[in-house]
Amino acid sequence: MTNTIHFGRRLRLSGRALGTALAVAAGLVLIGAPRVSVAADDQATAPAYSKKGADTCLKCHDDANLVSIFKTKHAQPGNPDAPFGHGQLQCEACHGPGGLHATTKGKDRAPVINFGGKSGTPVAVQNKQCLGCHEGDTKHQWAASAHDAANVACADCHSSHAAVDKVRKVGSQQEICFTCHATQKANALKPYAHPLRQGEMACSSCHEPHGSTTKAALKAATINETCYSCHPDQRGPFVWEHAPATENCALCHDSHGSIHPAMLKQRGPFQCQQCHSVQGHPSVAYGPSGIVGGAAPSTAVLAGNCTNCHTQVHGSNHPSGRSLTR
Amino acid sequence: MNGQFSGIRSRNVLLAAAVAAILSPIQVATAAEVDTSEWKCTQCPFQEGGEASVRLGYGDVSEDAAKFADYTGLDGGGYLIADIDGQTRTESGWYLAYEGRKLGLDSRDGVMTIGKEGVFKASLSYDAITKRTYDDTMSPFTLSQATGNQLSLPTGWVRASTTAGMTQLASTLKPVDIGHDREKAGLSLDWRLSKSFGLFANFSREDKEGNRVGTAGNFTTALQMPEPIDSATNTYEFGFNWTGQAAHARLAYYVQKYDNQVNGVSWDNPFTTFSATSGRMATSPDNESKQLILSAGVRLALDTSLGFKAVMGSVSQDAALLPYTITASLSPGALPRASLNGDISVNHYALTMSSRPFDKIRVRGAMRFDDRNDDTPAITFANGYVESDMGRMLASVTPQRYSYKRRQGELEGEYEVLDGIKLFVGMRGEDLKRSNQDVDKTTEGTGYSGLRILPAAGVSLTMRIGETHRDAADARTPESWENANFWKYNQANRDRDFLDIKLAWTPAESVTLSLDGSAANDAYTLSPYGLKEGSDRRVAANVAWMPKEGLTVYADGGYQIMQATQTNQTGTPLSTWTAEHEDVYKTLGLGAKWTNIGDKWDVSIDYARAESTGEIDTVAGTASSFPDNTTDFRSLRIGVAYRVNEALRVGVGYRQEKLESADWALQGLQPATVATLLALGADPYNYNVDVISLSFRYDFGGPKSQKGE
Repeated sequence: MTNTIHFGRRLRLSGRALGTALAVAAGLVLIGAPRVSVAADDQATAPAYSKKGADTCLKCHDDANLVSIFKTKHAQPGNPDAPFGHGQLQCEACHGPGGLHATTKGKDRAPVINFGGKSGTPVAVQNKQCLGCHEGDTKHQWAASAHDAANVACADCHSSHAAVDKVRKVGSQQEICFTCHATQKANALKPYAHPLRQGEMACSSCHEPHGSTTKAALKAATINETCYSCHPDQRGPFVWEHAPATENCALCHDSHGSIHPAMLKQRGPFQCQQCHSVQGHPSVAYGPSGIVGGAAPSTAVLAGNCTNCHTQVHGSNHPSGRSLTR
Repeated sequence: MNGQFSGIRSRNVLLAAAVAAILSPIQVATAAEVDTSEWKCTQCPFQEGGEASVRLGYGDVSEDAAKFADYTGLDGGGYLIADIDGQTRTESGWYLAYEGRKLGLDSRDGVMTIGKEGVFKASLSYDAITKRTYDDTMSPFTLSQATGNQLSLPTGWVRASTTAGMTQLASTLKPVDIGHDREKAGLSLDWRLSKSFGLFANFSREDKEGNRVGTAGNFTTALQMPEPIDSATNTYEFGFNWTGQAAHARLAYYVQKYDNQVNGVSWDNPFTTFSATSGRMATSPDNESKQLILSAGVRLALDTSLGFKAVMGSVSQDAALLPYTITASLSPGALPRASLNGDISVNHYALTMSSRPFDKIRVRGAMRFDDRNDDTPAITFANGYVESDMGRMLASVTPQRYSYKRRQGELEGEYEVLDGIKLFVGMRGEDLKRSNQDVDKTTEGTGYSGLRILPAAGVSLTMRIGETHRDAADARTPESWENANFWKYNQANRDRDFLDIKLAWTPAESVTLSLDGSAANDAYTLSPYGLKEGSDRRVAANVAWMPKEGLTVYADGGYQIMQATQTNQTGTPLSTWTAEHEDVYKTLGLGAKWTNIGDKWDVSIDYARAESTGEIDTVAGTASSFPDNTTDFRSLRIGVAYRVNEALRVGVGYRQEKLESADWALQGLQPATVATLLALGADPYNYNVDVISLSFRYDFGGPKSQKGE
């Protein structure tokens, strides 16, 4: 029991802890065991399914917007796990048992599960239907997501009947996200912004809308790792590092857009002067006299201001790059 | 069992049983339990065979404007409109799907996927992105085509101490566009081995080529130049995923290799300052990032879910170091080693929890740990280094390595006090330990409370108010040359209060409205100098009205104001100066979409306007103000499509986009305007572009009506 297993120099797992871990693992294995069948008693009281499945539904629900589901992955008979796969529950796989719905009329017509904000079906019930199949997508942490907490329905974003689900397309996804995220829609029009407006990026290029373990539901483990996935040239490590750049790109940049070049949070040279105070030019009080037409147009104010000389603001790999000028 | 798990005590057996009991799955009907023998789906119009749509046409862009073409690829002149999408399916589930967008432009993309539904999928993708920065810039430099990294001045160039003395400048300036292209090709494979087990592999390669604004300083002078870019990034990811009844896991191995073809850029020095005739800087080094990523989730009883993610990674780089200087006479000798041998470990562990043990109570929480540990062996330049290729600094120097460890925890509880009215309270904590920086450790605590009102389907209002306190006072050791009274804003004590409001409302069947607002105030009360205070207030709203089938009218608008105050000290004796910033940003959007008018016409119109103003006022003895930096963006898009028959549609489009901007950093700045700065002469962005288009879309195959079995 006192034996210790060494995994390199960083991880030690005692026998006691191992025993506990195995116990938990045993429980977890049981979660993955095949689901038991519905008990006979439950079946007796279970709501009735329709007699002929989709053929029953399509007698009334033949609108083109609904029938377009047959152009989607949900309605592929060749996929045994899809709702329209052979032997599956077709429309009722998602909308629930429709037996009563099909046999009642008028005001007394029994409801089925419907989707979307105006459907009348509670969001939790809607989402449970979707998650029954899709929660297993292992990139997702839906239950811990801000969207779940805000009572967002899957159908608020996804159009499962449409031939093209806009939210899954890079060029059109933001149209859906901006419906609620009005601030980000405004940000996308800022003069310096990632190309969402141009349809070359999607919100999901950085964010995992179905939940992740990071703050702001990022796809990668940290802000910097998210940025590096497209900007690997900033990853370094450099001989001379710029400390804030190693820690958090968002200390200087606003990734949702800015009115300042390079999506900086503040204009240079003032942004740099919020950290640098060395006597000499880092601490000089630059003013409008330094612009064109002023008394003394200045290299430290115009064009790239500080970066006119300190060009390697993300770090320098030059032996003589101490001042980030090389 | 004892024989198999000798290390497990009886209490662990009980634990296992308890875990299993909690995890008992929720029972729902499955297909196997329903009699579907009569479910023939004879009315189901399953897709079989092929269908495709091709859109071809011609467009014209009225003028070349880098900012307009940025990312859009819409350079001036005519262009081909070409889009394609389609799919072919078989009854057995095999399919081929393809899509190409903007194929006639430099900014184009496409994807082709082949697979068998539910079993296998392979995708090939291509994506090109255009980055256009400036098209009005000029430079006397010429890039060597042989080496790709040497920028030379023209023969006969007269070096001078100021730009005015560069007598060859005016006659040798050449137009040079600044920008680059990215081209990315990808291959991804998904193979589902069983209902619960699948494999995946992804590969992509991105090539980036062009230039950007490069700069170089020589103590008292500086220059801008078209710095070449030529790099390739290969990204690999492969692994497997497993899905159980109430749990899932995914294990992936991720590698990204960045390969920079430009190892250092050299240039002729146009100035005579300090006599160096040339300079050379390093470029981003090749690097390799590797990560092992494990993520998992489990749904337990009591509506409880746990999520877990572990990322164990490393970053390495061993790009060859450049010599200390290109100025041979200054060389302080041999380098201590040929490369940095950079080695960083990056780890991330996170656990999330969400539980709704009772209908009215929900608890959410998370714990995270991030670790960036720079294991690079120290490199000491014992014989000093060369500053800006001109002067040898004799002091021995050892670059600092920066590591950090960040721990975060958060917990939120929510209670439904009345039907549809939920109160919540939450707290967050973070401590961040840094090495070799002013402050070893900052701790931050946040408390907030709020209200969620969900009175009915279609209405959701969330309000949250809270405070954050960051404490950085424990130990502070600023670099000896820095002002001891000056605090870096990310390592300073800070008090923040904040308020968020979010509303989503469907007041009528045909109307939806959303509102998003927030306000935050920061106070760096213990910083004598540095960033002193800041605030950010913003509100934005969308409203959409659907008065009839196929018609949507919408409007949106936003307003944001950000303010900040910073102070610093300069001179001998020291005197204090202050800068106050105020950025205001406003947007307005209006539009309508009307589809299927008379079964023939689709019409859309969209108007957007965005204005920004940036003010900076300084007080350094006397008060002064920079001119406002402004932008005024206007966009109008009109589209009309006519359906000639079931297969053919004709579309006409008009787009007008205008940007006017004023920027004191660029206004009036020509290559020789400043005596000590040889600039590229970029102007603030101003364009007014019209785009017209005519296109034809033809659908092949059309919707199938083949009935099912």
